[in-house]
Amino acid sequence: MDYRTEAHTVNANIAYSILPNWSISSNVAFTLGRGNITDLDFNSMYPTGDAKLDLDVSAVNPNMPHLYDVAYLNGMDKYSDIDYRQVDFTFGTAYRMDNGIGLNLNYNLYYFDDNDPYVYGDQGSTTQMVTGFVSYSF
Amino acid sequence: MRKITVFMLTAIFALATAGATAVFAEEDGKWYSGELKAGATVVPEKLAGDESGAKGGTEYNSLVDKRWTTYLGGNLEAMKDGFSFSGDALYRDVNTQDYGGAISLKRVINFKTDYSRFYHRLDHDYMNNLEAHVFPPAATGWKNWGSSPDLADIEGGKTVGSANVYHTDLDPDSFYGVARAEWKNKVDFNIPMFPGLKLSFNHRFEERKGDKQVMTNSKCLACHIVSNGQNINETTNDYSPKASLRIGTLAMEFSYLHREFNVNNEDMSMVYNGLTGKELFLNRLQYDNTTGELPYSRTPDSTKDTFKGKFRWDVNANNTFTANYIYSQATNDSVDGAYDILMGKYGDEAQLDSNIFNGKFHSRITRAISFNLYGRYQDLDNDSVEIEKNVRTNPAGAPGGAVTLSEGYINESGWSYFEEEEKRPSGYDGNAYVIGTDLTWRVTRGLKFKFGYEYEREKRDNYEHHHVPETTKEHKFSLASDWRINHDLKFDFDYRFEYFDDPYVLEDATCAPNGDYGIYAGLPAGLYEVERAYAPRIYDERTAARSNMPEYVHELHLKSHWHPLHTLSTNFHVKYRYAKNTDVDGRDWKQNMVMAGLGGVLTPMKDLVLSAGYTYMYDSYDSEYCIALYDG
Repeated sequence: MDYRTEAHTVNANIAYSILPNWSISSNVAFTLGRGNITDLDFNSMYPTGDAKLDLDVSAVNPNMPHLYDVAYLNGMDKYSDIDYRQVDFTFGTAYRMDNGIGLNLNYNLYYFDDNDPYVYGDQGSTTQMVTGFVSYSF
Repeated sequence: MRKITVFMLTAIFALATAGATAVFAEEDGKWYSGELKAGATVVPEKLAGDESGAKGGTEYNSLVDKRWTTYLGGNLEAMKDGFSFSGDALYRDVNTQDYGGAISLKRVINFKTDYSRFYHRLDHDYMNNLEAHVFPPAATGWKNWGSSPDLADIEGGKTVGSANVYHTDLDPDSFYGVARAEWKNKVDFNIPMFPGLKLSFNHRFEERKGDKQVMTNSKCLACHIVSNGQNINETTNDYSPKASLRIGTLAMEFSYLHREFNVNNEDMSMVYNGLTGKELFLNRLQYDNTTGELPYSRTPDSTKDTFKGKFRWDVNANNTFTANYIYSQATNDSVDGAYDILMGKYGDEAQLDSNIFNGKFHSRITRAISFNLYGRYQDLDNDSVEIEKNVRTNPAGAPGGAVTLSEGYINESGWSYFEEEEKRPSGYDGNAYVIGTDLTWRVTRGLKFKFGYEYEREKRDNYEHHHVPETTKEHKFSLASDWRINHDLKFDFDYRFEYFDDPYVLEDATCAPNGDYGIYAGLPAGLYEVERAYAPRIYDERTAARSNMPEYVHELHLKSHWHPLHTLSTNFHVKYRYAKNTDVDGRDWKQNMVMAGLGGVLTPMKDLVLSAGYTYMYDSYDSEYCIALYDG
């Protein structure tokens, strides 16, 4: 069998001092990740000669909608599939006054899109954070 | 640990505040500077409970679980009369903290400390893939308990006895994570009366606290996996004194490391299911509910001691000789507990001893040519594990019988059994040595070549027991060059070729060499013996070697740096690796890997910096496996 992983990552940054005491910065990173097994094949033998029932049990386990058969094991390659998109974005600005007091504001966005969840469930999420603080330099 | 962090935060803030107060009293006081920070973080929509296993930017982020968290920090630097101090602190929540500090007294005593704490969200495997059943039709009459099942039987939980692969999650609604804290301290003493003598002491403390998912099997072994949540509380302490001395052209350093790894995790144990009503199987099980609680997921306490000596002799301006020796002993301290028979080397400690010698000679023959000659020897001696088994012989009478599991173990007159001790020697035992040389030739100021060759031989003492090659000989050839065409353009080129003879493989690992699957010939005569079916019918059918290690490797690496404009800097890199192992049976093992990237930094004006990059990674493995899937 083959196992392949592939990832594309793009990132861009900017840092700009608009005024001597006022700066902004921003960063964005995008990742596309994929992984999969190919050419997985199970041959079968039935030493005990028992036939397999084609009983529909999808209501119990949608991941294996029929009772045990190697035909379903040949779908096991999907268990290892990875297909996700991730975006991390940050923006920050800092303003410093003459008396040593500074104002800072930062924004963070975390976006993770899990297109092929299985074993660990859907691990996708979108989260935002805003951080503000006052600083005093001496 | 929380008291320590609060103390450090308070101390650093107190010092910073004192400095801030003093600055108003002393206008010219520039011997200290610092900054105080106070604020908060808000998460508009905190991470939902069902997203607690989320990845991406939240895997190591504890802040997204709360709507509001604080932001408190500061730093202080001071220097006066040979005394210097620097400290920084940031507290965001109990699981996101960072502190650091350094003190120097006239450079005679230097002290440095760092503490950080973060949270790691762990996975919860719902094991939905472990769900398969076998139901022979009633007409076959083969191991058919009653009529053929229908969907109602499965929903009613009547599938256990028929399961081929099955799972039970005893903690299905929990989300797991561990907080990791590390505190490092280092103090140096430079003895003024003995220039060149330096005494140091390092301490590192690491703590892991939280919950994680742990798994065990059941009475049906690997075909029925059971999981639960375990509370984790593990600490590591490293204590390391060190002395270094330089006398003329000779320098030496001696150090000792004592590491203690202590585990206070929740003791996990499980009572296996019984097979009530299925007496047919009772006397075939190693363990069931009659055995009582059985331990699992136990991590042993351990200690490690390492002695290290390093020497350097600058023979003259062009020739240098360096050598070091390392002795290490790692000890498993938890092998004499209540479950000796399940833990291996019962009643004794298990130890791993290692000796390493390194030596290197560097010589600069001319201004353009220099070479290195080096070697290394290492041996490993690991204790064997003693296993004691109760092995039942095949009983007289009909299969199944009426004798239970417990009776089978304790009754010597009825069911016959014998105790068998098995010694399992370690796969670590052995030795390895390396000899190598490299030559650097600076052709011009901008062009440099480096040629290298290295030979390594690894010998394994217990190769027969572990079905691996006795020795592996490795040849590594390398060619590298740096080419600086001008101040704005530079190329780095690196090629490596590695050849392994014999490569590391697991013999008798899988399938037959021609790819045939093993022929199942039915149960052997010894129906109740431990190795009754798997050994002769499954394991012994495996005659082909498999590996995920290469026989030879080609690796190519190219880097460039180009400054086309005064304000623009660019870089490009590509790495290609091709590895193959033909010393396996059946289909060859192969690896193809490509990594490439380009980036740039543009500074169009003094106050503006723009940067961007792209990276591509492709990794492919091609192998053949043969996995036995058992039928019910």
